[in-house]
Amino acid sequence: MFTPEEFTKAIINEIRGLEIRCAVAAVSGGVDSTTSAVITRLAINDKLIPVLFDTGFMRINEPVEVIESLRGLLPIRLIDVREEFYRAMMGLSDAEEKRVRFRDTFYSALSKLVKDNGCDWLVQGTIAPDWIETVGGIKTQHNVLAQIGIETDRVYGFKLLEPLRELYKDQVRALARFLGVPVSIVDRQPFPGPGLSIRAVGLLTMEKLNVVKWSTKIVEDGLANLGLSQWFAAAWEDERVYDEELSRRVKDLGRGLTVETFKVKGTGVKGDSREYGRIAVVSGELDRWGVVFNLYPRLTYGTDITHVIYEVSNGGVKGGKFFVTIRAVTTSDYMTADVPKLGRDILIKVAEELAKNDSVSSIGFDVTPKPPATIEFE
Amino acid sequence: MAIIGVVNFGGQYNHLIKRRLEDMGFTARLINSIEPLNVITRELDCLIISGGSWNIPGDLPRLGNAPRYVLEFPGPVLGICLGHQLMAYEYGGVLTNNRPEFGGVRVTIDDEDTILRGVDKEFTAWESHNVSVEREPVGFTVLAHSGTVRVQAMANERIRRYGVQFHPEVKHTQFGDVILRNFAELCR
Repeated sequence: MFTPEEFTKAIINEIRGLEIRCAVAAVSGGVDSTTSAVITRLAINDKLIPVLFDTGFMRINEPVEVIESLRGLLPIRLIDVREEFYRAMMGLSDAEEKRVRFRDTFYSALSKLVKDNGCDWLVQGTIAPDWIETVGGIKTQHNVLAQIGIETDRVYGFKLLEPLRELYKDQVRALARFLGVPVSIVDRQPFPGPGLSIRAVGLLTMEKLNVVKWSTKIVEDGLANLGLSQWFAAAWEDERVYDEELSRRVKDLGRGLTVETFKVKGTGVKGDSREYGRIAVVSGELDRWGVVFNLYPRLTYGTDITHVIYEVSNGGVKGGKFFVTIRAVTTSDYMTADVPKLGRDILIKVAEELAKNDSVSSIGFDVTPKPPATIEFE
Repeated sequence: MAIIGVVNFGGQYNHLIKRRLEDMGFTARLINSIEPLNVITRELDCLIISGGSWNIPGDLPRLGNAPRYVLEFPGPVLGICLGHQLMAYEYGGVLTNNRPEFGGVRVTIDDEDTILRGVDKEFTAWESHNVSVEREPVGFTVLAHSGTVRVQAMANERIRRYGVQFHPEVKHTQFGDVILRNFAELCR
């Protein structure tokens, strides 16, 4: 059975048994990578070099805030790789292509850094759901290499140390608390490796990325302190087609309900298989608000639909071109996720803020649990 | 101490089953279904056959020796999702692929038995399947149903075979720990 004390003792022993000249730790400020670096530092002290890559896909001010909050615990070096990542990723559209390209760019940059510092190991915060989803073909997590047969020693010139690979998020949090990681990091909501690049759904452009950055801040502030596990914004082109068959499936739940599907696709997981399917949006008056949480079985059972969005407000139409979705879930281990029963009022309030951006055409709320959706859209 | 084998079909929650059992103080081991039956029989006290992305019967050739485990393993066997469908199929039940369920589903208990002891008459269970059991095999009793699927849980107590369509190992399934513990207690 897992206890933070026993685990820490065992891992420190294990790491001290390895032959390590020096190790680079890739820290994002998330609880997984931070805890990996902290526990490794306990074992090898200054032979560990913690770095944070500013990929350009992080939240507003995030790199500086992370380094500031970990001062004293980890002496993190900030490395600006925005140019490299923008050059590699802008213009990509497919979800898996983005994730794989991000991973390759990430490790090329890391590989160089490891060599430049004369190191031979890389420490990273891979946890159980990362390799389970990658090996299972649901989505490529950027930090999974060894488990899918990539020999890092030969390809990138470093050996891989993943002290948390068998743990789940709730166990990592318990461990982080035990190791004295600041609360702001322990309770920080998870953030995908490829960052906001996969929340700018579909074609990745600077314009869409900026809408996502701006919307993320508004949603994070607007839904703070509600006991949610993860809450954020995603954006994509507001290009839709009406679907008669899907509209028929929900018509008894309100008045004049219509279902359209977007041009972009979203990732889901159905029956243990990845589904890269359509995203549906329901518009119109519901009989009562609670019904919104009953929409998803109607539209995802027996179809290729992976996410069901309810259009909260289209009051923002000013020729904007991006549809912004509010996503919120509750979960402890991120293997399954439920949609919190948020009231309509609070969502409308957030939507009104989002509508202030001229690039935004309309706003929706994702009402799909995992499964059949995944928490992210790509 | 008794060892519970978890047959790993690469499903999302296979590793999670092991974690839940270990959290409760049981010993669990992930096993590959290419292991011969006599090795499994010698080393393990009971078996959980879990989920995966394969369909029954189309993907039966990919399940290795799992069909033999279901029929011939001497100890208790619990099938979850794919494992439940495999159990129904091997004992002569009927499957269907047009009653999918994903996410939270209300499940109602029809007949309480060993594995559902201590569970409320109605509870929310988490599901992720396309295939399901339409008719239980002869000798099995239906223990629970949902609005969409008639056989959410089934058992043949005499031969200690149990099956659930939903996932007791995920946190969002109410009483999931109770159900896993009820089964694990049979292994001692």
